Amino acid sequence: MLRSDIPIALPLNDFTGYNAAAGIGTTGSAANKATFTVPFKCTVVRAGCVVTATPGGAGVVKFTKRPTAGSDTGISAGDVAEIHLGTTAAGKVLYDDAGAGIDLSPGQEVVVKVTTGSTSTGSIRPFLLVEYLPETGANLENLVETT
Amino acid sequence: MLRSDIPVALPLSLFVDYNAAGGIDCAGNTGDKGVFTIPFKCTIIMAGCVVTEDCSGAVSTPVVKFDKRPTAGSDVDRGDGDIAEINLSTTAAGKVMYDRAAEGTTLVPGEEVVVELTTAAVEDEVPTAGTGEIRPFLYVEYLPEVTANLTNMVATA
Repeated sequence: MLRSDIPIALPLNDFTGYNAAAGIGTTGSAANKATFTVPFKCTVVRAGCVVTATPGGAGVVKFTKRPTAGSDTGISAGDVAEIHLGTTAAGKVLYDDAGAGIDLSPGQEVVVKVTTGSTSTGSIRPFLLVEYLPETGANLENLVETT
Repeated sequence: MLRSDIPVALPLSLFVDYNAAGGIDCAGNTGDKGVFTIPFKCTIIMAGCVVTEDCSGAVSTPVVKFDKRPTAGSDVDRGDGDIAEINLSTTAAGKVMYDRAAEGTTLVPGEEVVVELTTAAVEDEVPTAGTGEIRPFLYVEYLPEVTANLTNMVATA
């Protein structure tokens, strides 16, 4: 079947306090910062972060699939991506294709967590590119039509 | 080459305090309100704003500019309405104001587009605020490109 291979950026929800003008701060303690909503069946193409303020060394950001939205049960940390920020300059785009081919379905989500804080100020804007996988609603078990 | 021409909406991040239920408040302070992330090479089709509250102001009506930042997070060589300049005037809620001035402009990862309220809605000289709320969007067409040709793309260690 002939169909589009255009990458689609999944919608990102920055948590309160992490939607500053420069993006998500990468210093401080480990914490979840945002989630990507999965509104249709798709497969991961690429995950990454636009660097908007150059961080100090050692920061790590993980993109993790949550099999059940809102729950950490059954997760495998960093399975979608593990981004080592280092001292990457602002304006660069760090990416990880390790999660390419992972399927996502409605009812799941991908959480963005700074697992190791940068040693000095840094900011990023995460993105997650996927390819749409056509599927009938009846085969998406978590998709429930409202009454 | 056969490929899709479906328009793609780039992801928008609204800054703290500008993600109100009605969208960006055009009656508040001027300044940067949000940014579009560019995760792949693309070319602009259209920029615009969905109006979610009637725009008004006897002294001034809102103006919103979309500026290209050549380096994400930096205002060095930043444009001034080079992507779009939306004069909202007294546009009613439910209308969609758009600008195709930058159609054909290419964007690459490492750049970003900033949404700036350059003129606020002002009713009188007191000053009393006017009205207006919007939700910006930026439609692009995906341009296939190998990663090696995107100089700002860096594979993580």
